[in-house]
Amino acid sequence: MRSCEDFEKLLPAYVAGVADPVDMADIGEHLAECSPCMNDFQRVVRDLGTLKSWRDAIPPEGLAAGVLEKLASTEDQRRREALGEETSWGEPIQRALTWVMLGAVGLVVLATLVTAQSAVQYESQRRVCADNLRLIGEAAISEGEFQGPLEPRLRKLRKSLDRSIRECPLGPPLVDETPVTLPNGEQVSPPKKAELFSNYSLALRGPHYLAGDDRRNHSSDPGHQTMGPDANILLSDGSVISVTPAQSVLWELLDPYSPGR
Amino acid sequence: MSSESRLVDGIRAGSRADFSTLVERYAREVFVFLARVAGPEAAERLTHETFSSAWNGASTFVTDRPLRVWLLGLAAKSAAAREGFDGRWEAAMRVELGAPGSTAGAAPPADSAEAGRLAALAVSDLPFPQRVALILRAYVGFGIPDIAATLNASGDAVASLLGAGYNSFVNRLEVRAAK
Repeated sequence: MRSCEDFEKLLPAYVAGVADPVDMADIGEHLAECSPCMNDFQRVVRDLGTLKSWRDAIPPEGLAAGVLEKLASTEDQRRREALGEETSWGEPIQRALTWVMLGAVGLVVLATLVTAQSAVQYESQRRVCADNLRLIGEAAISEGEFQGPLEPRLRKLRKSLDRSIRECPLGPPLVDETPVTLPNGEQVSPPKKAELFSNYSLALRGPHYLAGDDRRNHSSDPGHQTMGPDANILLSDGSVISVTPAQSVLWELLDPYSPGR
Repeated sequence: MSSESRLVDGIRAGSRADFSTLVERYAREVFVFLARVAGPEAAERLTHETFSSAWNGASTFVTDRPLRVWLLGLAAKSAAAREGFDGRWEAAMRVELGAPGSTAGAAPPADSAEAGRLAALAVSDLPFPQRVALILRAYVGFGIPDIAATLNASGDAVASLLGAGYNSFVNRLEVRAAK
């Protein structure tokens, strides 16, 4: 059995028509019998009636147009953002990356140009050196031992030889595996030449090289002689000549330790 | 297929014309609903949000329900987000009903405008879930099933919210009238 207070709690829902159907029937029966609850019922009806007095708010002018315009604007912004056109932080980073990439490309191009220039310069020097060495070799072969008559010719060559040999890049020690045929017909393989061409090597990269011994090892003074009076000089065309201590012009040309070099 | 379903299908396909039709047809009703739920100041912005959700979320429309139910549901979600309500309608229904006469004050004024002002204040005093349910019932005219569909809640939860909402409304109206 429910009390008046129980029914009173249900009156607003009853008046609004949203109470449970079972409650609706009970409340109806109770109200017919209970005048205090009927008074409460009338009060609730009056109170809920005020809801009808709350008028609709008036929408702003152009509400629908504003909604459509705002949406279009939002869509445009999203599209731009998706394309990466407008990001507060993306633009500076993108710009910086572009500069870094341009810088890197510039460095690569510069390095390539410098390398190419160096390669061209090196090749040019190498050719000059090789040609000069070939001249010496040809002269030595045609003249045999360097005797007096050869010296004037070498002097003619000396000026250009001096400069160009000085400018020739020093290459690695003799490592050519090709056996060398000496004038006496003996074949010498490079590792064995360590004794023959021991103390210095003036070598050019590639097939052309020139090597020989330190002049100081080939003194005419028996007290200073350590390796015999003659030096064996390997010329660029593969021939080997013997240079005596007396052939000072040739030593000056070939010996990097020679005074003034 | 109803004209409403065709309209939403067009929106899903990206038709601006269909979306314009939707906005023209329902912008006012959405605005009025939101003005009651969240106040006239917030209503315009929330209306924009509601239609933005409709444009982006047309796939959430359930074709066997009225378009108004879907739209007002999106509007209620926008308002709920603004008020920080987590959407747990079932939890919100567990409210102990107080006797509407326990704080009985003066009768509301006979003047209609003043009565309407007091009613607005009393409704705005209600907790968000009760407020939304009461407004959908009293002003939009939805029955419990439509309210349940709008709020994505059970019928029992909505009935409970409405009972509590009307009860609280009567209490708060009388307190307001007494002041």
